[in-house]
Amino acid sequence: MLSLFDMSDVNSQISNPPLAPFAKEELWPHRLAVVLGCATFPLLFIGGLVTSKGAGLAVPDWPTTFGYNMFLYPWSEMVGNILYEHSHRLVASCVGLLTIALAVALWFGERRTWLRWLGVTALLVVIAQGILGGLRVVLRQDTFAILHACLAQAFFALTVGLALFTSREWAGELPQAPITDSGRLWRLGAITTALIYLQVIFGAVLRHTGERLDAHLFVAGLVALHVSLLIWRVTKYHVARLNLVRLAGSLGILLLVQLLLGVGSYFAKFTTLCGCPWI
Amino acid sequence: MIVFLTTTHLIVGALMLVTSLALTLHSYRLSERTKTALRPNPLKEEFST
Repeated sequence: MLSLFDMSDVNSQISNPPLAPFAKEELWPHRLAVVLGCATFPLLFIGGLVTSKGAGLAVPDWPTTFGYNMFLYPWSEMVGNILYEHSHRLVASCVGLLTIALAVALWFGERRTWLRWLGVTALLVVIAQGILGGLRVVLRQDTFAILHACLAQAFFALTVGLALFTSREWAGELPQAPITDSGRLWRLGAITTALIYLQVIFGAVLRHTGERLDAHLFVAGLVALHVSLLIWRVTKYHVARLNLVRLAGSLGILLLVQLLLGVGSYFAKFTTLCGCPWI
Repeated sequence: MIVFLTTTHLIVGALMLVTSLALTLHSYRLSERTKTALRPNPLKEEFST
């Protein structure tokens, strides 16, 4: 007969099953996917800075930089808004190279066909993203800037997905442990993710055109509601699943920070109520 | 200050998107486990009959 201690040990094994070791050739796609995700994050940040600073057209040509090969442009001339725009291009090139490396590593080192094609999809997305960024500069149209902003977030999400799919936990065996409510949870999660992405789209429209603040605020309410539901469902039905609890907790904290930042941005950008000199 | 607020707003939005995606993917994985666990084992049934 199992003692209480033994039973809790069994329960923890079901909740967090032991992971199978990775084969050496399977390690590289995962490492590359993690590095790619980590490199895409600062790229997003610099891209955001480019828009916030109004530096998108500081370098008027593309793919060259003031007639120079992008990689040979003198560092000494990277000043002011040129610094933001040109750094964005250089970091984007690194992300492009990493995506090529990941696609190749997945194609030759991954057994799952769908994941190999997902690597190819990431490569196509990063190429499209580069072309959109270039077209925004050359044709000077806000539509391309909005598409570029939306695709950037989709690409970041794709890199995080790739890092998860190539992880040891995802590639491992499925333990035979029935879990109640998991179907509802993932459907709610999918709706929440879709709403957050819709919010990203309205956010990009608002940032680049100053329009559709109403839609951005409305979807913000929907996102807040769905994130709250998601946290409630995880804490009620999946409290033993540490990774779900951590993710739901992080999402809750991010939502609070995001709402505060949203209110701050609104007052700073769209109203004259806040006549603060520091703004 | 506007630059800080709007850029951080964008970045936190991106973090929310990927956190929600990761949660969705993890819960999808769990639902797949549940389906596999609840599926009747044909070999067992063959032996029992």
